[in-house]
Amino acid sequence: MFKKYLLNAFVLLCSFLLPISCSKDNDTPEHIHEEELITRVTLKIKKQGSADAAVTYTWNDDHEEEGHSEEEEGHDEDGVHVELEANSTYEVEVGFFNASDPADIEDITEEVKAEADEHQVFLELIEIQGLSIVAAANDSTDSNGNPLFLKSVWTTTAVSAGEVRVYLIHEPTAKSGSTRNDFGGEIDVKVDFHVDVE
Amino acid sequence: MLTFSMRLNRLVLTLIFVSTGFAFSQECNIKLRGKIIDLHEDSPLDNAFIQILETNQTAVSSAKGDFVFDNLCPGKIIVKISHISCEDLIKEIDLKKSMDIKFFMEHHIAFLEEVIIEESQVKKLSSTAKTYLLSERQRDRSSSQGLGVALENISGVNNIKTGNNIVKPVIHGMFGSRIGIIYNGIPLENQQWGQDHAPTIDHNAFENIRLIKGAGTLKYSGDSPGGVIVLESKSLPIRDTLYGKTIINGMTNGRGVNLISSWVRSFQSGKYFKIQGTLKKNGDYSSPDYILLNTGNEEKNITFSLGRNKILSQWKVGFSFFSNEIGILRSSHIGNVDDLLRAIESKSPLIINPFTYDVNAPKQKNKHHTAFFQYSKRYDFNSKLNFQYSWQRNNRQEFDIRRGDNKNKASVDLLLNTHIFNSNYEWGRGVMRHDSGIFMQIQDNFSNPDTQVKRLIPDYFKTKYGSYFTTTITPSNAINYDFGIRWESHHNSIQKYYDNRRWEADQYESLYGSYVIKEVAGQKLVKRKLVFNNISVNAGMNFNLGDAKVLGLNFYLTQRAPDISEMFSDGLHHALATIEYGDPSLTQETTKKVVFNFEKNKGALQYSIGPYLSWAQNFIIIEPEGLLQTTRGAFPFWEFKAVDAMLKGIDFDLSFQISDYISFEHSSSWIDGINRNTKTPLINMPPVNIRNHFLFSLPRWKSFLMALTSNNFLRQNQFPDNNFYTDVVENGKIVNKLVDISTPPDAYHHIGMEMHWGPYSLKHNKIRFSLIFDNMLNTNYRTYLNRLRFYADEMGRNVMLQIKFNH
Repeated sequence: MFKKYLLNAFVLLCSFLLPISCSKDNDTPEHIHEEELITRVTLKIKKQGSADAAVTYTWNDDHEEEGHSEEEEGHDEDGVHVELEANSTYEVEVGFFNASDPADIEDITEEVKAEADEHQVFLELIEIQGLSIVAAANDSTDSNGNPLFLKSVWTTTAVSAGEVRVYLIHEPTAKSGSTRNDFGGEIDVKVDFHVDVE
Repeated sequence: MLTFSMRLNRLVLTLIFVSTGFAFSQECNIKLRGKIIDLHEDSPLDNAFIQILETNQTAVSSAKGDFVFDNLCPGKIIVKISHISCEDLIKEIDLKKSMDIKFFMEHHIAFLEEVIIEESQVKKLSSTAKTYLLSERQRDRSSSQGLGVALENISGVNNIKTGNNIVKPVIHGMFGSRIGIIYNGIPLENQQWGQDHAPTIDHNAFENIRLIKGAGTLKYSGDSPGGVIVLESKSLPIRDTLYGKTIINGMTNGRGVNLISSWVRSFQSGKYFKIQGTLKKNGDYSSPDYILLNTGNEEKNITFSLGRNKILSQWKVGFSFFSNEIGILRSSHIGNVDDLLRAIESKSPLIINPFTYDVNAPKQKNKHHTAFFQYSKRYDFNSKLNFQYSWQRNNRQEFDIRRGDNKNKASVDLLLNTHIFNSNYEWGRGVMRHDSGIFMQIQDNFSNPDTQVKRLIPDYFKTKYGSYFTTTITPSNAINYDFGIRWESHHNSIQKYYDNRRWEADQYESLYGSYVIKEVAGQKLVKRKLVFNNISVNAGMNFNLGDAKVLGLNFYLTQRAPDISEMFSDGLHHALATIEYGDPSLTQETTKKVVFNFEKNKGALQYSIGPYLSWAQNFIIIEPEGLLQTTRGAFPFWEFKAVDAMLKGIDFDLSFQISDYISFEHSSSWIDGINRNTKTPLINMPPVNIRNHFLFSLPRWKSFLMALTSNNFLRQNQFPDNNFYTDVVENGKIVNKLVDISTPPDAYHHIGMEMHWGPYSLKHNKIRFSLIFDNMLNTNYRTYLNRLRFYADEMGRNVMLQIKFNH
């Protein structure tokens, strides 16, 4: 009797084990392409009234800086160097990209524009005196007409150096301010560009 | 159904006949010798009336239960046995030769109830380790909350929380995979590794909730050095009856409402049907000073079971469905370390809105289905064979605040299917009782790629099988010995995508390069098979010293295979802004634990003192390893690793009946956990807590009961320093600021009160009212074991009105 039960149990066990073990072995998990990642931040800078082409400075997630990069003294982190001339005006465009798949680089800037009410770009000046930033006339705006600061105009005066910290803030509680705390919300992007005004 | 011993007898007789060359004849000279045995007491039954229906021959059993019929002819006969206190037994017998048969008689079904109930009480989880049982008042009081809250009044049991709705029990400083939750004999499989994964179980569906500290029941699990929680349904009466219980709760904090109801229909034949359902809904909770935005919660559970209880056999089929949707404090959703720093520096949450029942992202949705079938058969009163098959389907979805098309998609969507088949045999009586079983479990985890987020844990397929043997020796009434051994073999097949960046940073190529089966878009798919064999041993003894004093000592050796999450997790931990990485080279964790217990369990003054020591090798913890530069700024990343650890502590319980109308209960516990390699404290060790409880009743007002509870939690001063620095901008300059994620919050004290009226008769029902106050003084406090302690205070005052009907 005991044996009979064990046999039944074994048959029962096998009957549900077999289909499962067979079906599972051949499956390989699908590759996930993360659409929401922002792995690259760019500043496209063009000097007003100059015939020179715009220069794009790129901050990449993977430490492979492109464009102008060099070790900075007194600073451990590698940074991207932006060189500007004093007493000039520049048109600057911020770009956000998902370059996690080099073969398929996505432009996230468009999404930010589409969800303008839920996003805000904040350009914070750190230890740099001779630079002021205002929104460009052709900048994208949210439903209340607040500029997103995707396009801005940078005016340089005196020679100085410092960082421009680019933030992309998600669901900000305020759309304007002079410090990070003024905006509330959560940080989607925080990268520094080293700027030399010469 | 023929019994095992009958079969054996027949076989023996057949062999004798064959060997002596006895020839069957058609002559009517067959002798049928019988013995009638009372199934419950395993004793002979006298004065039973035996009748052969065909021939109308009759006999009466002797004092030894024996009877004889002579001169029977070959062929089939039907024997009917009657006894005043038993059900009639009718048996067909094919007579070919003289034979001896044992007849087991069942008592009248009405008497069986007592026997079954008695048996369920006798059946202890362990005869040497202390078992804690929740009282009905404790279960009802916590009916509006989760299992963790229901257990927290037991000394040495704490909770690790994420906000107020996600609560996980911690036993002796261990939680998650290091404790076992067993319901209806099934180990709960629900991604229990996660700190913010509360057990997907409705404790309102169970009448028997018991807990053992330490791996006290190797029958159910061998990898839970922390402890085991066993939830069971009560044995049902064997008679025609319909009864039920309904609890309605209304709460001021969160404006919550619960409806919990269960109904049982049982029959004289032993058949029964049981249904239980729970509905819970609450909106945003509030702390004393502000609303905790997005902390609403909704829960819907249902359980059915159907079965038949008889003395010789039992079967049961059950199905249960658990589902919840839990809001997570809105302001705990942060983007990076700067946001975390802002939250820590701010006294109140950064986002506070008016009260609402709406639950938005961040939130969790969990569904847990269970279907099971159980069958048990008894061969005589002392041996029993059980079979059980169960299927669990657990779906966990976590929703974050997202952008674009993915806004309403879950970020984590895990589907875990678990099939468990187990069988065990219990035998022995008196001095020696044994239990041995085998089990097999297969489990499939699927991480839904539609989330469009990198898998937090990979897809895997796990097969687990093994067996156990436990024995209890009771040489005298004063001594018990327990011994148990369990072996488990785990076979994991894992398929995981690694980012090339991490693959290179951790130099995985030389170790796992040969397991790469595919390369796509900057990632490598690795397929590995991992095998772990675990042995767990338990030895315990228990001495009754007389005067109701009992001394117990238990030793446990447990091995736990690393969790899939500990080996392969890969993702962002939102509440702490940390990136967590698994370590694929981990091996199993071995814990030796000694639990001592001295108690006095009768009289006006009762107490229990329980020191313990856990000595662990390869104890898997997660620690900060460095900073990772991302477009969101620098993130600290934490990695799982194995260390040598020691956890020691002491639990103390005391109760004193001061007078007929006043009683006092006290429980307290202290624990210390250290990493023996670095000599630093382990993270998340519960602080010292002291609970005092006074119970009053009034001589004149018999149906009134009142209780006052004081809960004192000291500050945890033993903690590892996992702090780090981040640079933020202040006045146009970069300032390096400390992000203090380590320092525990201050000590706190809160007071609760409960008043109970009833039961009063209302037609055929009994009705009981309770008014329960939690955090009566509206104290502001934060708890160390709450992962959202950086963001907001705990709940403020709550008043709950409970109406309970017994139908």
